[in-house]
Amino acid sequence: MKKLLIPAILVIGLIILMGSNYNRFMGADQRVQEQMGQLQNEVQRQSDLIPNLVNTVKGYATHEHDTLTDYAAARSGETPLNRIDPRSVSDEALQKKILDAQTRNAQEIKAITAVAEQSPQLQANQNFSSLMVQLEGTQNRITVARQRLQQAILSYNQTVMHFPGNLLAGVMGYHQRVYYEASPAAQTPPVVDFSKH
Amino acid sequence: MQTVLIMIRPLLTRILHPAFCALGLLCFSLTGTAGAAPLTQLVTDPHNALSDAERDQLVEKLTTLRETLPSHPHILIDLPGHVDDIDQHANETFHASGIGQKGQDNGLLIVLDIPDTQSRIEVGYGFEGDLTDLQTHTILVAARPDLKAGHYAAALNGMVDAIGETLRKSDTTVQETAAPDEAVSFSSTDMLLGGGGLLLFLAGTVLTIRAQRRQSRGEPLSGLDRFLVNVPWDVLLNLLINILSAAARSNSRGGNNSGNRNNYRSGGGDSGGGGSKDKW
Repeated sequence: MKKLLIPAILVIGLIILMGSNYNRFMGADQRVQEQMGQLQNEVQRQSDLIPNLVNTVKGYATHEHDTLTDYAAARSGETPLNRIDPRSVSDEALQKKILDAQTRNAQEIKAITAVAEQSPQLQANQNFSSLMVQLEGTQNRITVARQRLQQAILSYNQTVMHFPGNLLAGVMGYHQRVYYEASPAAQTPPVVDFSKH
Repeated sequence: MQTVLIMIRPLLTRILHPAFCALGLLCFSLTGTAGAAPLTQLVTDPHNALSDAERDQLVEKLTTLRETLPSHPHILIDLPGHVDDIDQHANETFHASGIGQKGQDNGLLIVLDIPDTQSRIEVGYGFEGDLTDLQTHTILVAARPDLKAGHYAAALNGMVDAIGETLRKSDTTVQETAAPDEAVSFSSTDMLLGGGGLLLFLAGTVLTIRAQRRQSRGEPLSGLDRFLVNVPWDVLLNLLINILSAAARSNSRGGNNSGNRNNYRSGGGDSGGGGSKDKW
């Protein structure tokens, strides 16, 4: 009986350690998935807004008309980001899809703002102003979602890489994740000044 | 072995005391929160842009809205002075303050950066369907004349009235509950760690008592018994009390029941950057 006491305490301790670590890994992984989903939704929300903006702007566009048409053509037929299951693709592949969508949106927004800067009538257009307010809100949501995703990945990586979690993480199938790095061009917010409207 | 342990015990205690004190201090410093400071008042006006009467009137209005509307909105006003990025400041402050109820996210934050003439309404997740970015922008634009004239109280009253009017028309209903830090809750990890800790504590206590009894009876001691008898429990207990006390101090932030109607206790709500900003 006495001989069994110490091994029994050690086994109980090990079970507690494994159980609590598994819960921590799962919780941290779930937070990353949630934040990734949030970022997917917000970038898709931005992508959905842009065709409406393009339709409003087209009538005022001269130089950028062809560019905007080309972007619209490239966009058609793509699977919306928010319909991609994060578990069905690798982190890198999903992040690339989000980054590509963000970069293309940023290029389109740049073309739209170029048209707006040259056209005071467009700036005074109520529909255009409303869409730009929504676009600005979406950009802000993307910024928040991206920051929270980075924090979630940082927290996850700390959980699986630090002692004692690193002893068990690999065995349980939890590995280090890559950070989501958006290019500066993809992070550029819309720059139309509404103060005079 | 026992003689060696008895000899090095004072030395161990001397080394462990400062080491544990340093560890305790480190734990205490790590318990502080980084980033934006949480708001603990309905109207936060450190630069006194509002008179006492104006602030009290706003507090009354915010409290009435929270008590009377079916969505029980937690609306806070922040006049922080200059901020570099009003979007980031509003979101981080909202997040740090936990405005609105946890799970309902029925919070709203109005920020006026008077030195840079910019304003923002940050909308909690729960109100994004009721107060769209466009609606918040319209509310901010409507406040421009008062803000330009320096009538900040009038501008804020107008914003709060407009928000109240919009929320009155919405179907959002929230069951008002106590703030989560009033009702203590435990996660499954906390329970597991707590349960495991309690088990180890009980096992340690029983084994130590048994070892001490054997020693007093003059019976032969095993290696574990000698270890348990010679561990400086007073030092370890002291460290534990210090850590628990530091954790308790950090957890009690924001809690204030002095009866001041301007006080705000975090509800655990959050926002994802919804709302809009304006420049006057």
